[in-house]
Amino acid sequence: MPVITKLCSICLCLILMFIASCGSAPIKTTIDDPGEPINRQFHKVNRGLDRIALRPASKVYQVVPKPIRAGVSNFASNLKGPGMIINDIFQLKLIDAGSNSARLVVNTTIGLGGIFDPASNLGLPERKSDFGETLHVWGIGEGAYVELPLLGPGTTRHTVGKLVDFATNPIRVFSETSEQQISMVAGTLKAVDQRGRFSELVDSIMYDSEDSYAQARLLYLQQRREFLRKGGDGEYLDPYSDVYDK
Amino acid sequence: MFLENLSFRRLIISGLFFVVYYLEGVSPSYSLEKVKAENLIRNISYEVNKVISSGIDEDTVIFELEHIFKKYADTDIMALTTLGATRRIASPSQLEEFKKAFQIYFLNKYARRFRELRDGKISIVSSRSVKSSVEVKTRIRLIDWAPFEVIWLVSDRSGEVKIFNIIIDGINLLSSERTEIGVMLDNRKGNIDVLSSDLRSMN
Repeated sequence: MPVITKLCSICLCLILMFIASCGSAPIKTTIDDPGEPINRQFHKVNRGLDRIALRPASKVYQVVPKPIRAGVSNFASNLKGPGMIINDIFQLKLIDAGSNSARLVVNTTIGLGGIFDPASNLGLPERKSDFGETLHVWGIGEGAYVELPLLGPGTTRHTVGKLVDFATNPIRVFSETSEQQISMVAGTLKAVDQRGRFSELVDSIMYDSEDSYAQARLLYLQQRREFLRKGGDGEYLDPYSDVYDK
Repeated sequence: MFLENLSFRRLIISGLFFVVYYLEGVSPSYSLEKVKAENLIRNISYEVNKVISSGIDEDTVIFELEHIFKKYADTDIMALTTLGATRRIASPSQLEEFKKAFQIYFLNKYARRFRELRDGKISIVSSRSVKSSVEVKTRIRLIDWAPFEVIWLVSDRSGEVKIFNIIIDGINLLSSERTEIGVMLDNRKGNIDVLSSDLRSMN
C-alpha cells in the first residue's frame, strides 16, 4: 500500500510539473477543415434533426412556465459543477476552482439541489471550463474542424474533450442508474430550452442563410476561440485600410 | 571624433523616436478620440432604448430601429468589405447599387434584433484605440440572462463617427456577412447585379 501511495504522489508531481512547463496552445485565426465533404453530410443530418425534433420540441417546451424551465436548466448546470472543478484544477486555475466549489456548495444547499441559483447573485457566476480547454492550456493545438451528428460543430480537440468530460463526469460515474437518467433528462431539457431562447438566431443561421454549414462553422469557431481567449483582446480586420488604402 | 558623432546622432535619433512614441501613446490627436466613440455608443443605446420601451406598434419600432442604424452605422464600408475581391472588378455604378441593396438587406436582417434588448442595461467597460479606429467594450445585462460582452468598432474615416462592426460574445458580424455575401456571390456565379437585386427583395 505505501508503495502505491508513493507512486501516486510521484505521478501527481510529474503531472503538475508537466502542466507548469507547457504554455497554452496559440489561438488560431484561420479555418482548417480537411473533412469538409463528410462534415457537410453530417451537417445535413443535424439540420434534419433540428427540423423534425429539436425545433418543434423547443416550441412546445416554451409553453412550460419560465420559472420551471429555469429551475430545470439550473439543476442541469449544477450537475456539471464537479466536472468543471476538476478541469479548473487540471488547468491550475485555483481561483476558478475555489469559486466553482463555493458555487456548487451554495446552490446544492441553499439552492435546493441546484434548482435555484443564489450563487450568481452572491457574485459567484459559473466559470465555465471543460476538458477541451484543459487540453488547450496543456499546449495541445485546436486540430481540425469537425461537425458530428447530435454533437454538432466542434474541433478535434474539443470533441476529444467532450468525450473525456462525459466519461469522467463524477456525477455519472458515482451515481445510480436512476440518477443518471434524471441527469440526462435535465441536460436534454436544458438544450431544448436553449434552442427556444435562441430561436431567432438559430433559425436565421440554419434556414435563412444560403450556406448554413459555413455560417455554423464560423460561428462555432469564433465563439469557442473567444471562450479560450478569456477576455483577452482579439484581432480584427480593419476594413478601412483594406478598402481605402489599396 | 567619428565615434562621438555617431553616438550623438544615435542619441538624437533615439530621442526623437522616444518623443514620437510617447506622443503617440498620450495624445492620439490624429486618430479618433475614445470619448467620441464612447459617446456614439451612448447615443445609440439611448435612442434604441427610447424606441423599444415606447410601447408603439412593432412595425413602427422596427422602422425606427432601422432609422437609428442608418444614421449610426457605416453600411457602405461593410458592403465593400463583404464583396471581397469582386470589389475590384465591379464598376462604380455596380458598387453604388450594391451598397444601397446591402443597406436594405442589413437593416432588415439586424435592426429588428435590437428589440431583444428590452429591459436590458448596457454599460461601457473600456475602450482602446486599434489602428485608426476605437474599440468600445460594453457589457449587456438582460433579465434572467448571464451578462454578455458586446464590442463596438467605431471609426471616423468615412468622414463621420460611425460603427462599422459589432462583436457579440466573440461573434463578428462583419465576418459572418463576409462569409454569407461570398457564398451568395458564388451561388450567382459572381454576378453582382443579380446579387444586388436579390438582396433588395429579401425579406
